[in-house]
Amino acid sequence: MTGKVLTFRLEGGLLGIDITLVKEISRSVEFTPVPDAPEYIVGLFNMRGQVVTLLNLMKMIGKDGKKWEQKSACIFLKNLQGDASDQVGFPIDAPGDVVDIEDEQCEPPPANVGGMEGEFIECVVKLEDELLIIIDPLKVFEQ
Amino acid sequence: MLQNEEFIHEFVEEAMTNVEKAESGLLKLDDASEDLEQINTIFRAIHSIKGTAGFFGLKKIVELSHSMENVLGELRNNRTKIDRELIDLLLASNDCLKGMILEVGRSEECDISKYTIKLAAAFERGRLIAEKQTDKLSDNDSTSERIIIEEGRRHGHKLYRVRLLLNEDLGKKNITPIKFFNKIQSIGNIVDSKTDLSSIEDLDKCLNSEITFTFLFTTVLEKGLLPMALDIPESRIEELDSNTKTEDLLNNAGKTQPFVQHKSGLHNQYKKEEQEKEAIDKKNQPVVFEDSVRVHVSLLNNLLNLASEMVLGRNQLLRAMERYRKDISGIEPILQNIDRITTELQEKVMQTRMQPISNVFNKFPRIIRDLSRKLGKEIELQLEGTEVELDKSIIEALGDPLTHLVRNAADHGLELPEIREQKGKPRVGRIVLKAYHEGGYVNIDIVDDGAGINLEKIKKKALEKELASKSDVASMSDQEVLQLLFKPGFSTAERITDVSGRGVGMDVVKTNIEKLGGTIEIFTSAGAGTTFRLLLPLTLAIIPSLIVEVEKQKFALPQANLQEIVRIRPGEAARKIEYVHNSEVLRLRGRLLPIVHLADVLGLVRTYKDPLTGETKEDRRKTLYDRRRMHFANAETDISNDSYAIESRRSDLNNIIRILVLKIGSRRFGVAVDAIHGSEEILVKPLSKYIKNSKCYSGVTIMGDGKTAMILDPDGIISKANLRFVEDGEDKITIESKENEERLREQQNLLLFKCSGPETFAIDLSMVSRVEEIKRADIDKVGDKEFIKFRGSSLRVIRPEDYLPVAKHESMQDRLYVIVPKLVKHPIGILIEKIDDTVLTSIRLNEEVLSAKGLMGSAIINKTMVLLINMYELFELADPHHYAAALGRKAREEKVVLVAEDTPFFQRMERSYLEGAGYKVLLAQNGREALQFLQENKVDVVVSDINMPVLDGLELVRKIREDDRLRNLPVIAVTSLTGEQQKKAGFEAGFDFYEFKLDRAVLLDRIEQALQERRRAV
Repeated sequence: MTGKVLTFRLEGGLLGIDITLVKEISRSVEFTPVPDAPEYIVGLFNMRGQVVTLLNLMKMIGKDGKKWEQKSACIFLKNLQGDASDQVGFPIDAPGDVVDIEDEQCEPPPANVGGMEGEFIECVVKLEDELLIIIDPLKVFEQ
Repeated sequence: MLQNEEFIHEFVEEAMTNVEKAESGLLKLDDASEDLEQINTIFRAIHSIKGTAGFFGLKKIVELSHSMENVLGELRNNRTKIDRELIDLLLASNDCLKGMILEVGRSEECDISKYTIKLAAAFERGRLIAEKQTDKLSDNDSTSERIIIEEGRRHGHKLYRVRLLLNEDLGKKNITPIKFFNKIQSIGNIVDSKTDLSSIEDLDKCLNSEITFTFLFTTVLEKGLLPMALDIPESRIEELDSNTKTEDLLNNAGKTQPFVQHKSGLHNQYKKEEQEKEAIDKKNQPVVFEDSVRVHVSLLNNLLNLASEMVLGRNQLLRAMERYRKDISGIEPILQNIDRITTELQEKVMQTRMQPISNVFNKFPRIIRDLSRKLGKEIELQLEGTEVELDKSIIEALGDPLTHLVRNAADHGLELPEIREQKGKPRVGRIVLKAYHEGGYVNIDIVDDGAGINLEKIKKKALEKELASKSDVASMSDQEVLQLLFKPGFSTAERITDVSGRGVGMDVVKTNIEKLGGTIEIFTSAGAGTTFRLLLPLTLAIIPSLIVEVEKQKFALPQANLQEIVRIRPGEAARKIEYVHNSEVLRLRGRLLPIVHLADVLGLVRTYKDPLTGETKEDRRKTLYDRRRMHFANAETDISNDSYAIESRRSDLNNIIRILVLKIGSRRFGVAVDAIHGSEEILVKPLSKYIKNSKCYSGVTIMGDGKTAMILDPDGIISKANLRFVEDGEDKITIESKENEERLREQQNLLLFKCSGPETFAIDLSMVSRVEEIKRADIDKVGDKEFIKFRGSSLRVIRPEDYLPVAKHESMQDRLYVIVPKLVKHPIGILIEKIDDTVLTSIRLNEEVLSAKGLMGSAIINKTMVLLINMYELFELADPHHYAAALGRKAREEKVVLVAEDTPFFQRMERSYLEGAGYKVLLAQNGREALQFLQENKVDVVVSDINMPVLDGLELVRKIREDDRLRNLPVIAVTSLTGEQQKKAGFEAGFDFYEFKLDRAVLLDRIEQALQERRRAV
């Protein structure tokens, strides 16, 4: 892909998403846990009157994610379905930079990244000192 | 990009409004004979449907509305007489029109010929008369279009033709053809319009391909101004010479296929006539500006959300600024202003969702009209309170249940006219639909003056249908028998008519009303009629709820399902919580209540705080009972230093168990929670799709502190916790326990307490609104009077020992209680130090041992001497200004009040009040005794209890009303039965007033009022 990507740290890895999908980033979010909900639900958060569902990104893509504590940083996505109750966000370890990427830097998910995880990777960007995994949040949250 | 759905939607919406307008107009014509204004309204409504339908090529709709319009035109010119038959025809046509509009996609398939032929015949009749009267029609050359043009020219109008490309000119600007049509009408008169649909096969496609609209209209505006006025490019507008041949007006404008034209050819030769009228009509009418705007509901919902959010923001701001209020000069008024405006804003936004109930009510005149013909009954419908407003969603959901009830009233409730006459009632039956506010709810009464519901018939039916057993039926009260109506599969009509009793019964009505958070009640009186009462919340979006906490998490529980809260103190738990295998149950007033812990239901790990280390540990005990007992037992066997911890944990106040008793239908269960944070009005938001599968929640809300909280769904909790209820058994127990309560009612429920001295006092609980716990520091002194803050205002508190002949001590106890009295005009709190108990007992009151003003006397309860406080005398002592009986004693001395009351306590109270006010009092123990007194003595007013042995109050008043000599005697019910149903029953039996025990001021007021009214009557 080409364009601006918001990068963030999540459980050791450097991940990124298309910045046009991002509504905002918050550095400290106090959420309300929802007992008896699926385990990929982190909780609910009141973003200026909108109830946002916080999801565990790692668990959503079928990996073991950690249990999130209060006051984590979060990325909130723009509401793409138009239904106000389906606003989502996900906690991250730390937000990173916004980087411009070009098509030639990108490669499709390598063959050995299999199964569920691979489906959600849009592409892998070869940055100078690190690999940036661009995920497709729509695929993740629409499943 | 065109949203064709939206166009059609807008058309349907607008056309429906017009159809309804026409319908209500026609119905008014029905009874109000020839009202020109009314006919005009109908005419305009139908005309406007015709106009807009033309755009969409809805030929059938155009044709039918045109035929109707013709007839209406004749009516308007007084050429046709209005009669029932004609109105029937118009109504039927209007219905057909409505049908076609609702099914707009299939409207072309509809067969309208039977209406158009009849309408044409009616029109013909009118025209023949017209020809006799005038020879205007001879001028055959002039067409209707010409007339409008001529008419316009006389007023300096110019003739224009506008050709628009639907997509290019309108779609892009999000203007619908209908809006454009209206726009032109606002600046001038439309002569004709045409839609070129030659290239199009069906309706759907029509909205997506390029279509040309041609409008011909006259206006005073210059050509240069039109692009601005209509928001279209100048190139689309053409000024025509008003002498242009009529046929050419539209047709030389490009393609020449008049596929759809406003004036269908059917009655071409007459349309001139009507057009002329229309033109005159328009001339006489000022341009009407709409005073309302159509807004999408989602926008209103967004606004509502934002307003609520604003309230939260305001609260946060006020909290944050609290400290600086004094320091920043001028900030105070600004904050106050924001505070006020925000509240107002929220209220107004809430109001936007409110709609008058007339939206539902208005369809009933028509229904009743049809019904009365079908059933051969004469029915008069009365609508009251049509301006009462309810949330849109409730209004919408109310239509079906109300229709059902109204149909029932007409069909089953009202008798046939002959039968009514035999019974000495007016031939015409009455049905009243009445909406009014009461206690935060909107009530809707559906009242008929028919035969009343035959209870025996219901019982028989219930037995037949095996909805209840014989023994059940025998023990049922009247109300309970009526409730059988709501059982699925019940229908009282002897035969099933097509009017009501179509299998979907009252049970559906009840379910629908309950879905709205409402309830339904029935009152009936044989021979006099039946009332169905719906109690509805004002709005669905905001519900009162209780905020509860479990494991540090807060949840909102809608109060609709909450029956009561039971607190069990540590020492009592073993006494009250018991076990059936591993399940916990609570004995609550003789019934077993299943109990679940909210934490368990939600899958939260229960924890406790270790009092020694302050750590939070997992609570491995599986039951509430364990909390108390098992560990105590462990402590005895395992003598370690743990025992201390357990000991103190046992006494830890946090170990109070709080159980919310919930009830859904007949299912009752208890939910144990850790803490209760009071109630809050919450705004319900829908669950996100990710959590929708969690059964326990019905929604989510944002609380006052800005945090989100899940809204618990009691139904979901039942299924999550696998609670299985045996429905029938439950019902029976309810009935029994209700009977128990009835029986106990005449006993007294006393609150026992102590003040600073050693004496024990008692107050009847029926006079207590609540008992508030306060700290000594909460008491403010003003002069020698003391006040506390209670529900946002100050409440005066008094110490009984200051006014009564009892011991008084200086006490430094920090925790005090205030008894807040019920049903008094000028509440005064009673400050006490200790609550001993509440007991239910019948007491023997001794007035001799201790008599003083403010005391009723003494009694022995549980081997202790207890002083019964006469609250009103006490208040009189403390606040002579408000409580003293100041009014003319003398006039009253001649008046005799008969008090029928079986409870000695209330006898004494009422007697003391009445004698204190100067009346002469006669005491009767029951209804029969009272009747005897009435035969032997001259009595001015009767004050009667309702529940009495031998002959109860209702019977008493009925007997009084039957007696010729006593018929006009004022009778006041003074009772502890506070239900609205009982109140209603009381009025029906003949009471003039119905008051609750026992407010002295109100009782005296009522007697005074009754005497005055009587004086007038005599």
